[in-house]
Amino acid sequence: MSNLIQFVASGLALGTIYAMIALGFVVIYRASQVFNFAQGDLVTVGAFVMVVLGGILPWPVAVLGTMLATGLLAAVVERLVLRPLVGRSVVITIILTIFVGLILRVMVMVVFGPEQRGMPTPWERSAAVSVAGARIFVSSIAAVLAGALALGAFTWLIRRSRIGVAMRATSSDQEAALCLGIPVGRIFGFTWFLAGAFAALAGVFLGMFPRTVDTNLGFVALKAFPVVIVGGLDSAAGVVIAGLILGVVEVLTQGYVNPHLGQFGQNFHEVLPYLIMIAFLTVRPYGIAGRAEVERV
Amino acid sequence: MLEISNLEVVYDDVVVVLRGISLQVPDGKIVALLGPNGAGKTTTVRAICGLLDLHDAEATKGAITFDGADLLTLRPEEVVAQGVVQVMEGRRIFIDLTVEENLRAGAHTRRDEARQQEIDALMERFPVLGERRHQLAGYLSGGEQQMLAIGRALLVKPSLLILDEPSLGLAPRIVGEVAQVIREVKERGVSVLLIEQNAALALELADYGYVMENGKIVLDGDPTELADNQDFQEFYLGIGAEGRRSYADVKLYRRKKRWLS
Ligand SMILES: Nc1ncnc2c1ncn2[C@@H]1O[C@H](COP(=O)(O)OP(=O)(O)OP(=O)(O)O)[C@@H](O)[C@H]1O
Ligand SMILES: [Mg+2]
Repeated sequence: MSNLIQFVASGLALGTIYAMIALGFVVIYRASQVFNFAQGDLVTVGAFVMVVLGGILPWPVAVLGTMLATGLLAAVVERLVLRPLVGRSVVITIILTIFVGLILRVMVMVVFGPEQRGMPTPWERSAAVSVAGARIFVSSIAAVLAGALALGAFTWLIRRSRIGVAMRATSSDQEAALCLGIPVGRIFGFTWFLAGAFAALAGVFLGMFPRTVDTNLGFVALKAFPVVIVGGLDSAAGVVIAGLILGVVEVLTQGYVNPHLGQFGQNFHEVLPYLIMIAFLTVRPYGIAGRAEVERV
Repeated sequence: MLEISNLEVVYDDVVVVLRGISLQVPDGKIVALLGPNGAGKTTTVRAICGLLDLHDAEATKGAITFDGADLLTLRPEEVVAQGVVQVMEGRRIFIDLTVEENLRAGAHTRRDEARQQEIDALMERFPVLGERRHQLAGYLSGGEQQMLAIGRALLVKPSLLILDEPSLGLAPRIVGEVAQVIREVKERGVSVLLIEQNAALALELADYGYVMENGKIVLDGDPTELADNQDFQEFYLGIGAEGRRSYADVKLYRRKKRWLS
């Protein structure tokens, strides 16, 4: 029982991180039909920015500053690289974002060097609380809380705010939005800002789990693909649910299934999300909450 | 005043769709632009609204000015900022937003206090929209969607409103309502460029009319002049020597005419 609680708790923390990465992906896709393959590298950038800011600012301020800085960087990338190619084919934007991701990774390498860094935390790194005999990391709790807060803010923004309505209008009918004077280009920039901020938040917490930050951190974004597919390419709510489910499934599999699979099973939990993704692609390609007509990559 | 002079528009660098058209919409007037399918009416609107790029089209000749501003060099949101707003062909409401959110999207560029009051006033003017304010706009009927589309555009506070075939696919009673709304728009001092295939409606409302075919203006005049013109009667009002003609007949006739010439 205490094992189960422990697994579910770390699963939810991991799932929150996946959900935040996937959410950024969906926000950009919904507005501009661009697949942002640089999302993972924004996670890396965010983690490194936090390593720096966390050393000089109080933790909550550093987290907000990291989200802001990474978001701005993403918006600049949109403005300089993607905006000139608005309306071009999906393939071109995919290649472009992969390229952007590479440049970001090299930039991080040049600025911060190849060695691993420690992710600053205001609590003892392995601090944990006991719940019904289970040890739950404070970092896990913080990740879930921060994720919930970010998600709440995002929901308010998208449902209620002026720019949120403009974002949804843009994804509903871009030309009609233009005809009402909505500056669609700037809306695209804003979606990149949001995606960057979410990626940074994911990076901050991801860096706490292996407790180190290096340039490979961004590869976790590969895990966000099953989340995006299972949740639905165009559904923010879908990817959040899918993120949490896949996070928990992954950790439970690692804890309960892998040991029974012998040598072969060592990394089964890493593969399982992709197997689930393939199952979805064949049975329900638009995900649990997506719209049926959404295109496939 | 909107002034188009000698405008030529080409799609994909090869397809010439507008072949030097000129027209004017004086302040406070309703001007109708009539013409059959494919004449280039929507293309004209795209040119005015800065939307040619989006459709891989380009103005290769001519000019469009509104109160002196050169619209051809402006981006869509800049054209709107000049006070030129269109209600697109096919209504194009945001189907997955609520009625109220559609109106809020229309008021996006507005920062003034009056914005919320005007949204409320609109919902009073169109009670259906008020009753359904929290419903998804996609569930409205065609007529209600057209009212929403017009209302949404009015919230931008245009000084020139362009309506691209607002009567398309609507029942006669609803067309009457649309006509009433267009009159109200004029009373507010807003100029209107009314694109229509429903010539009777256009003549009833307009102060001046242009007829366009194959990317050229072939006829223009005030409504009485147009109504007296024999070609116009025959092709647009459907009144010929042998009584009413169907639209298909007219098309066939035109094709014959081209063969002969
Ligand atoms: N995006 C495009 N690319 C190439 N050709 C186009 C494009 N849009 C329109 N055309 C062509 O331009 C011509 C004029 O089209 P336009 O839509 O302006 O006509 P219209 O007068 O608005 O017709 P309708 O009454 O059917 O709306 C047509 O022959 C059409 O095929
Ligand atoms: Mg048209």
